[in-house]
Amino acid sequence: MKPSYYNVIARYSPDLYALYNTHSTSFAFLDTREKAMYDHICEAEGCEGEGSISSDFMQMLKDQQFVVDNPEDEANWLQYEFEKYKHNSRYFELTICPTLDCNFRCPYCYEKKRPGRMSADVQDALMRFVEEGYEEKPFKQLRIVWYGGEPLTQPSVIENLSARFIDFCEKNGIAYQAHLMTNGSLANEEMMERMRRCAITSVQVSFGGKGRQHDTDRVSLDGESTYARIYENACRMASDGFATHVEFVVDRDNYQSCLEVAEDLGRLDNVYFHMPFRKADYNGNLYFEDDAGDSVPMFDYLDAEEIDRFTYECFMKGRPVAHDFRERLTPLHHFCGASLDRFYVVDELGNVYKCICDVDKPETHALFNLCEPRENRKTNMARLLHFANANPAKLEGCRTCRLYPICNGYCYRNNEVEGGDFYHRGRDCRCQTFTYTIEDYVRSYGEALQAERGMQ
Amino acid sequence: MKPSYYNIATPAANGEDTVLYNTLSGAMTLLTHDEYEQYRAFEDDCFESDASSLRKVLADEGFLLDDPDFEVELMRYQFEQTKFNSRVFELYVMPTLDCNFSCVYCYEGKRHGRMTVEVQDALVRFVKDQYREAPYKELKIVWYGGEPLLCVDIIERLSEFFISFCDEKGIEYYASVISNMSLATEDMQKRLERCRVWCMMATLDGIGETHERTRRSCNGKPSYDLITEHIEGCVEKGMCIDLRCVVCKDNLASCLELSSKFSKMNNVGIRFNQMRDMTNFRERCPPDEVPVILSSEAHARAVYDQFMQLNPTASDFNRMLRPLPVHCSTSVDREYNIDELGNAYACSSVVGMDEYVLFNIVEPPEQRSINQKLIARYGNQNPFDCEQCRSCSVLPLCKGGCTRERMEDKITCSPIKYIIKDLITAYSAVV
Repeated sequence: MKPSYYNVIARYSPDLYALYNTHSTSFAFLDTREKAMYDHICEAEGCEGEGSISSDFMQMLKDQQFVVDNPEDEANWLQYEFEKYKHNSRYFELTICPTLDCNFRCPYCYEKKRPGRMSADVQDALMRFVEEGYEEKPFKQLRIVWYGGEPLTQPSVIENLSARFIDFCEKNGIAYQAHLMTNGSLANEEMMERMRRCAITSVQVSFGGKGRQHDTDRVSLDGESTYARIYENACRMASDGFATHVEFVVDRDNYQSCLEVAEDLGRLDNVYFHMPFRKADYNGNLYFEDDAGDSVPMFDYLDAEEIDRFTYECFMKGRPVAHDFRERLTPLHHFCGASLDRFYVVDELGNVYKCICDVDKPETHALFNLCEPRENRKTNMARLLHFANANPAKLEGCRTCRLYPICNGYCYRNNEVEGGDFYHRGRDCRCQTFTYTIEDYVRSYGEALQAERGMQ
Repeated sequence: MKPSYYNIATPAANGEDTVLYNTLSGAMTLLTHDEYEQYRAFEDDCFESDASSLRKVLADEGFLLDDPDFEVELMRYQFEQTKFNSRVFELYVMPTLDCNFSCVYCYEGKRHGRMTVEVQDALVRFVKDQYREAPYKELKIVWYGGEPLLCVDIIERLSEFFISFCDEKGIEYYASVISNMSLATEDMQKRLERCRVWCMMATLDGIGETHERTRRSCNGKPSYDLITEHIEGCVEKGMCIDLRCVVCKDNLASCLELSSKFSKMNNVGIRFNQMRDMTNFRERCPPDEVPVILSSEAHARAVYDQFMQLNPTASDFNRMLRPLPVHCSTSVDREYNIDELGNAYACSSVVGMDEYVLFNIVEPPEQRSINQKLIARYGNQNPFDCEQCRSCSVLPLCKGGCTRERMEDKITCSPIKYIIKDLITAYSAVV
């Protein structure tokens, strides 16, 4: 027997340690004597014939999969599961941009704005695409994400398509799930009612800090302040039962201000803090000259540790209970949909992509266009393979990493921008999720578990 | 630009030119002597000296690529797509591991007994559960054994369920039988017709006595004439016959003669399989009857001779040289071999071996003990991470060979590797 690759140990108190396995999700408290036995197993890379290890303790480690016959078997299983899930046909997932236009002009936005909206022809082609997907391999759930630009600038497109999707799902006994990503400025009461009719049950709203700080980073086209309106809309959505995911667009300048918003929103039910969006110069032109004549980036980028720390602090502002930790620390099937076989991003012209970040490069990054007849479609295989053949469990650095089950290799697109001049300032950002905070999570999980047991 | 890994250059049938063939795309072109010399310069990576029109032609046809690894990644993608294709659910069902033959080379351990009603019901539940989990469009059942026709009543009972389930759900149903054919009498043929069996996979190891030497019936009676008669009966009923000859040195000539004879019949396809000594022939045969097995190269030559004696057309060559999505169904996630006890295996060659059981279908799904280690070993197997295979010119045609052997760190090259150049030369003559 050997220790699993996926154990995390954190000091819980002077006499107690918390042990968590990111694959099996087992949790155990170890006293100092048990910790010494555990250390011995790790150092010896095994525990065969070790008389000093108590049999009860050893049995617990086996039962909870902290020790396994061969840790490579676990890694192989994760590699297989990743591939299997990639090709699963249960879900058909679409991220749809009814428009790439937006009523905001955020300086760091990586998308190129494009006026116009999805035409009736493209909507018809999109509907056919769903029907053909079902005909080819029947799915059990249709998952839609409304994205943009700002999708709520074109609610009629959302309504038209939603009605067709819902009707199709009802006729075929398919579950339907819809999520909306918005800047929140247009999500007033009337719009919420329309969203509800479109069976949208969860939303993601972005903040750039509190008050004026938000208005500086999240710039509305009409120049008006939007913070109060968006905050009010977010609170109303949460209280009306929408699962409200909050995304902060953060750098060092607005770090504290964003945490203040998290403090306020964290008090509400139905609010969840999404992984923050790192404010950065995605278009490579946001530099200014300082007094010495040097070119200086406009944003004070967070490094990997800071972004990880920020994520943790936001999570804790939500006053998480044990159940929230279980969800946060649960193994992922995939980091995102880009590598899934049946996940597509569709822009308003019918161009189909694997990743939302590809939307501004239709010439090189689109896979095909939905409006082309199916038999004439020539898929951009080079771009497809970039995502489709990804399997982080095959990468040396990932498969044996203690965080792999809950991180899943992070962003697959990052593979190509690694070393680029914007995303990877500071320390290696590929490994940011949980890398610097996992011990804090495990410790806090331990406290939440104690509280839960106390309540019982 | 660089040459594709999957280009093969070989003399053309006209004796002057060179045929360049790509085993992945199926593209074929004739090169003159001078052009071939230029192409060789491309191979040596010194094409910059000559940016001729040849370079453009070869690039347009996919013989030259910016990055040859692109084709490897493309095949990896197609391989994984096939492996996890949920459109098809395929089962090799073994109603019994008992058999009325005792063939010299049979690798299966015979086991008396039949699939009980409890196991049959578990199989029915398994088929339904799999549909509920991920609906499939095709259900393929292969009745295998042992000799499955010993338990035709089980085939009938299960077929009735499979057919009504598929009809109700709009699933296409395909059933075939792997049989020694000795029991496929006219009455049996009618029963199989009702079970919607469309294809019989039969084996004859040569003509008359040659066949009897390796395909031995337990009752000691000769079986060649009986099997031939049953094959003809099935063909008359519109069934396809997939006829295999298990070839060794002793029966090669007779198998070639047999191939020539049966190739004249409609709906009969003939394949030569290599006889392997997996059971220690010397313990099973009198010294003067021990079969002499062919080397891989000699077997490949036999396959080539059998193919060429049928005067193949261009479409026959096309079929012969068609890239495979996967080597065999062992790699496929939704394909299982179910024995009469309800044990599920990935590969038919390991049926009856406890260490290769993936799970047992009689156990309720929520309590089912799954051999994750073994499933992951099968599931992660691929030839594209293997240095020897990824740049081999016939990889598109063999997809790395036997999955089980790969798991044991053995690579058995496909016979086609030894005859590919001859096939391309002959193909160029036909085209």
